Amino acid sequence: MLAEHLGKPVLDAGGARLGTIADLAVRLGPRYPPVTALEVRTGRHTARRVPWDAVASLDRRGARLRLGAPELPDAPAEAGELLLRRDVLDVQIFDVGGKRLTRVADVELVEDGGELVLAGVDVGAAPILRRLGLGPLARRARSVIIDWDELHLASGRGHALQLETPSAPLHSLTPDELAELVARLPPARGSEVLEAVHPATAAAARELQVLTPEARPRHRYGRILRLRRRAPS
Amino acid sequence: MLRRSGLVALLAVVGPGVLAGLSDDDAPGITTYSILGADYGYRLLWILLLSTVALVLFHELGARMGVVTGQGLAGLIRERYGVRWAALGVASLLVANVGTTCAEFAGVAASGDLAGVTRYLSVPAAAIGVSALVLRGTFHRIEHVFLLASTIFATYIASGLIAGPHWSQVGRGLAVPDLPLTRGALLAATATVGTTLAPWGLAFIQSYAVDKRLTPADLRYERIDVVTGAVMTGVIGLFIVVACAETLYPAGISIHDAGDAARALRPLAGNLSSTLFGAGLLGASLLAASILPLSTAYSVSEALGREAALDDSPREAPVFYGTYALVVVAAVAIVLVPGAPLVPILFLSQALNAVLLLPLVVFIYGISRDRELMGEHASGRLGSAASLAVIGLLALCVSALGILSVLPLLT
Repeated sequence: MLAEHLGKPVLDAGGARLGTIADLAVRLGPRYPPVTALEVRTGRHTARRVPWDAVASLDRRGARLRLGAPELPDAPAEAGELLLRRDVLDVQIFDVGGKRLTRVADVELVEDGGELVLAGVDVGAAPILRRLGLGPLARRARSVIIDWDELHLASGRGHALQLETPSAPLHSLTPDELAELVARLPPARGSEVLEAVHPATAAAARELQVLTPEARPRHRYGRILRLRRRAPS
Repeated sequence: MLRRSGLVALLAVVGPGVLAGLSDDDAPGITTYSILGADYGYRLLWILLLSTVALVLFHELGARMGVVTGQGLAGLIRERYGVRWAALGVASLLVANVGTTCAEFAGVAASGDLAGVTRYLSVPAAAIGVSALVLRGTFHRIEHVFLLASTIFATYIASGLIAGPHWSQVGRGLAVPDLPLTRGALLAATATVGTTLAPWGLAFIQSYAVDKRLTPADLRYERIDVVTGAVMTGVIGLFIVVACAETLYPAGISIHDAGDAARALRPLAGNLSSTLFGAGLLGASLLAASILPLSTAYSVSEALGREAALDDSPREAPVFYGTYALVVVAAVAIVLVPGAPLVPILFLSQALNAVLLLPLVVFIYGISRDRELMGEHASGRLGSAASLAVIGLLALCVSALGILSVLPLLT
């Protein structure tokens, strides 16, 4: 899990302390995004990015690198990447299976054929309690894992990146699931999703003035009027 | 293409600003304004004006953040500052809100007393009434009942007008900053700021704007809603001060709660003024008693990641409705237990509200400037400077309150 690694020490090949684990970068594209870089906090305001190849091990005690600090290459930031702490942890998601909005409490990382991949997220109460330092309570609470294939990041960068990634789950939803997603997201993001996945439907909806922001309040006012008309009975 | 007029668009957007604003004129608010008028006449009116400006500023920020990000305040704090801050914030909100809800039900009890109805009848009836409304209604129906209920505040304007205001003195009080450097005056000033700009009001306006599914295109109208709500809040506060300043202040009558004020008004301003004051207290308490648990329920669900909406059923949103029930039941129980230390509970919850307000506005300031979250709607330099000024004022008030509470213990 991601939260147990954050803030833990990063040691170089010689055992010298480089800094602490600040974040992990993953590359979107494959079904389960592989970890590509480790962001190390080296001082109060300084950080450096180490390519994942240079990381020998990652566990509860921290990360160990293959090289000494001077030989370490820097990993440049890539366009199609997410930072797990910044863009995924504690962010709002749409859970396709449960058809609801929820929030990421921890990120599940799994070793798969020699590479570390983002497998899913935990939205249960257990990781929240664990992160608050309430371990004993956490053991009695539930973990609720949602597969990376079954969710859409509802906010900011994650939402935008998933729209552009053809393999992202939102591109293979059933019409029912898609309707639920569009209805649950904030209105502007909902229409972006429809635009990306089903341009024809989005155009039809615009034609009917269901989705355009200019039309929506009037549409709603119509509902209120109907409600009032029904009220006297 | 059909065109809609500006008025219809505005009417469709109205709600968050007006409701969050007016519910700040709740039972503790009315008490504070009454004491302000009865003890200091018009001298401290300028503080009410400043508070109203601060209310406009931060309610606009709250509404904008909700509309742009589609998330409530507790959820945004968790996304931007982590789960610890969110948990700490929501835990304090929960305690402070239960305390404040007690104050609202105490307000219901007080206005029941004025009409000769026992609190053992009036309080449970009020609790069942507001819960039934929120649990059984749809979003739009609930909103319209709330907006209708808020017209009861007109009674305060009437009550103030009956008292016959001296407008030149009112104008002077608003324009001339004058603060007697006594413990009582500082306390009254701090309480006025703290009761006008309440933490749960800030959380509520944002969650409510999200639940109403407003879009950035609505922001223009939403600003009108916010300013209207805040100005109405200030004007009603002004008339409460007027009613007390014109009658109780010259007579030298000091009061302790809003029920006192209504009783004291009778011989001085007549039965009508007193009855209107009492009716206003009932309406204000009921409105805030329905909005406070709602605000708490939104905040707790957001922080735990169980995002919920008024249109969801209790089965779909157990955390949301569970929190609502918990707040109402706890508050009613505390108010009805014979011999419960009601005065300390009310005082402590007000103090907690004041202390909680400071970190909350700092979070709001940080989030509103965050381009990552807010995009083109992030606060610019001018807005940030104005927010910082309010934060400075609040810090001053909170530290004054802290010093004033600790000082008597030392001497």
